[in-house]
Amino acid sequence: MGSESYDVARSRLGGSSSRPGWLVVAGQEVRDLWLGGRGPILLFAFSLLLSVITYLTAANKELNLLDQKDTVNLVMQVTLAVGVALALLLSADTLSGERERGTLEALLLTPLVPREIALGKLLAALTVWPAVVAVSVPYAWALRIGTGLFTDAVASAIVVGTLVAITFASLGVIVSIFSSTNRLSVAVSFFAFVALVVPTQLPGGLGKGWLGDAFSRVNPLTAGAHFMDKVIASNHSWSQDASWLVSPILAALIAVTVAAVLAGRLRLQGGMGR
Amino acid sequence: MKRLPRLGPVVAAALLGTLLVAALVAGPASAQEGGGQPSAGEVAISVSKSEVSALTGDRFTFTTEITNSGSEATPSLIANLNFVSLDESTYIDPEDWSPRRTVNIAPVGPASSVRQSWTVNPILKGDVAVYVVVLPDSPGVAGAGPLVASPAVHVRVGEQRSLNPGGVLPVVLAVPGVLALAFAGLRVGRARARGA
Repeated sequence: MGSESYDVARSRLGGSSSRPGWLVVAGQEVRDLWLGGRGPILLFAFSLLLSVITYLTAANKELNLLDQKDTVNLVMQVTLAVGVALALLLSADTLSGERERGTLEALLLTPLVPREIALGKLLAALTVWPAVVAVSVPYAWALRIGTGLFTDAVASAIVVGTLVAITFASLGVIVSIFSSTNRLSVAVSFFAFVALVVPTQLPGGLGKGWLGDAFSRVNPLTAGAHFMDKVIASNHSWSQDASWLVSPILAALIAVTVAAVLAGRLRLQGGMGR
Repeated sequence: MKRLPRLGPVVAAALLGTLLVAALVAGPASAQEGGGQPSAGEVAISVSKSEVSALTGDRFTFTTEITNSGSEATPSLIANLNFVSLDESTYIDPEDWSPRRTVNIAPVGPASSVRQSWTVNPILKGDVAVYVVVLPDSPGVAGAGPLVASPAVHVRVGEQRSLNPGGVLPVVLAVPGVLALAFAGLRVGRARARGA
């Protein structure tokens, strides 16, 4: 949030508005994100990516290389990965970005408590996730084989993606609270994301065995992706693989709680010291 | 005792010779374990087509007929569909070319035949030979024969070019287009609002 928008937020808080502080911050951040141009550009780039993937998978489907469930599953898995990555990177930019632009000091001088600032910014970063899902819906519809598959695909992506996006966006805020520079915050967050995604890309055999299975269940991203894969591509019922949602649910709860607790330690200079 | 080391090579050669002789004798014996069953010459496979022209993404079927002209029934058989590229540029992954490549076939009685239908999905352009091999479905005799191959079906695959695979082209173009227009409109609106 720039100093100009900070003034707007402060004037609203200083006025007779009864809106909670975190809502004011979230509203201002959402306007910055979506009217300032960053959000729309990211969505447009994502739509181009999905267009290429959809076209190529549809061509493969015509060659009988992929069936329709696999093509829809692929589109929704890409949606999950990109949506979560965007939520993480946007949240990683929040507080360290203010710090780097020299606007954090002004923000800390408002009547807002640090927890409200962090919560408002977290919510604003999370708005990218429903937007990404909305963009993916027409592609899933174009590739679907029936309304059942389409509904399951979109619903499972919404449930899993919301949980995982909350987890990773909270992680981004946590990193941002302590990072003295925006570059460091984004780099650490991106590395954490890659470290959790890479194991899912290992050749089949390496991810098997009890250790691989345990890792897949504990890692909220792989667990969520596994759940979606079973529901979309393997026709499993939601209850059949519900145990794979435990990790995303717990991770989201823990990450939000930790972010809320650590937000109280938000300082002007960053770093781990008090 | 001092001569013993010199005997080593002699003993080794004798043992090797014995093993070789035993192997030569045992070879034909094990090949005859399926004795009484038709030899390779008595089982034949014919195909319903000798040439097929298709486009990538098409699907065609052909039929094989396994005939036992012997006086004994065959053992249970395994029929396997195979693909060979006739030009170097076409890479073939057989799993992509047919959804079902291996079929178990019940014993074929004397002077009778069995028909089997095969589905082929050509996915790359080029010249491909498609053939079926039959061998006994038993670990004990699978290596002993009869191993019979059908004549090859020559498949000429041309490339099918579709600009709208699966009907997704409108969506693929429309979504980025609509987003670009919406955001451009948003920017213009904001710029006008600032100027006003």
